[in-house]
Amino acid sequence: MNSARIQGAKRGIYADGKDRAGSTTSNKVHSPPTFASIMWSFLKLAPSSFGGGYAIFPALEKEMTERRRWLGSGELAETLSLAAAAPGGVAVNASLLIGYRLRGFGGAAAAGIGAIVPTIAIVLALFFLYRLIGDTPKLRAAMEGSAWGIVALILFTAWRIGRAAIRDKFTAGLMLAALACLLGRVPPLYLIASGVLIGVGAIWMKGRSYRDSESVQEENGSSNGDGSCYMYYI
Amino acid sequence: MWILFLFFLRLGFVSFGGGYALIPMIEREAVQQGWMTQDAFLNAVTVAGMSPGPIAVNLGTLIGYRTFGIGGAAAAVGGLVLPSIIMSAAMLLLIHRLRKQSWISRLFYGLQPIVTALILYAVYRLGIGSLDRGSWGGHLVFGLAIIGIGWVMLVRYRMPPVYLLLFSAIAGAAVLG
Repeated sequence: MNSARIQGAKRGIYADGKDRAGSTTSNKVHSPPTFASIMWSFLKLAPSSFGGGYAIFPALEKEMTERRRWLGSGELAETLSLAAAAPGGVAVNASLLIGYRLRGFGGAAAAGIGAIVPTIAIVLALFFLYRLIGDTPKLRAAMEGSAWGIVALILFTAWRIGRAAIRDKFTAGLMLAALACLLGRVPPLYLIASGVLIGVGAIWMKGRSYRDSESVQEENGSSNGDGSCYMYYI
Repeated sequence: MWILFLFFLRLGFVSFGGGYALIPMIEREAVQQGWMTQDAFLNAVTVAGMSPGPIAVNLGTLIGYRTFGIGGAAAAVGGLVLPSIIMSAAMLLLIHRLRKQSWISRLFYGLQPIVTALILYAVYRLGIGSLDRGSWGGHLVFGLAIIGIGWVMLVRYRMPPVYLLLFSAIAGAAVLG
């Protein structure tokens, strides 16, 4: 079933009608989307990721599943959680993965360009704008205000990820230890590496008991619907 | 410029969970290498956070641009995005095995708490940085108010983050200006 779905997605023909949330989708795409239309979709979406990559997800969902009908919602949720799991900007990953699903590597390139170019243009434009009028006290105050807005956004992201991350006392301890190390100016790269090692080691020590609880967790997760799993992040 | 590219390339491989976890790393490197002062970095984070797109890519664009012009911006963005492309491609090839999620969830078990800590640390650094700019008392009250209001907007009403950014900018101009 998996391979059939992926094959279908590769050809750009989404004829599955069965998404993970259980609802049936009747949308059929008859011809594969063109590179230009893929790029245009992502160009259009780029400005809606104001405030971080995860902010793009609702608009992306609307564009892909409702307007263009290129993907079913289950397929999209799966792609988005993959995008969140891979390193790199989530919005960039999502565009690459969706582009690939629609039209292979060419589609990925079209979507990637569509997602990245406007972002760079807007950030440089804002930067020049800031430089141009940067010395007025009002603008300075607005910047300080929005710095706090960004703090709130990041805190919110930490909460979202933390809810998925802190599964037991061990992970809570690990988080606090890492925070203490950061405050003690330990380079973050070492923490990431040791976090992976400690996590793998801890699971290895726990052995089979973890594997059982893991599979239970997974079942719970899938019954909640995959639509919510990427929402952990925003 | 080579150093810049390699640094962001290295970051690109470890930027799990979005770019926020990268902020402390970028700050450390940018200040140490003399690419930016602390204050300029804080401004860059604000501009990067306000702009669409991943905050790490935006930060990379700004730092690259400030240090080596357009070429620097391209180097930083290329460094950040290249690992994404490679890893996404690898994940696509592994998609069958990933379905079962057993090994990836093992990796994430230890990784996610670290990422959470990194993001919280970014909050701490940005908060301290903002407080240091003005009078502590007034900014602390303002900051906590924005965080509280932002929480209600994002969690309770599930509003798009752009409204929070607009609101905080206007509130800043009105109250702090």
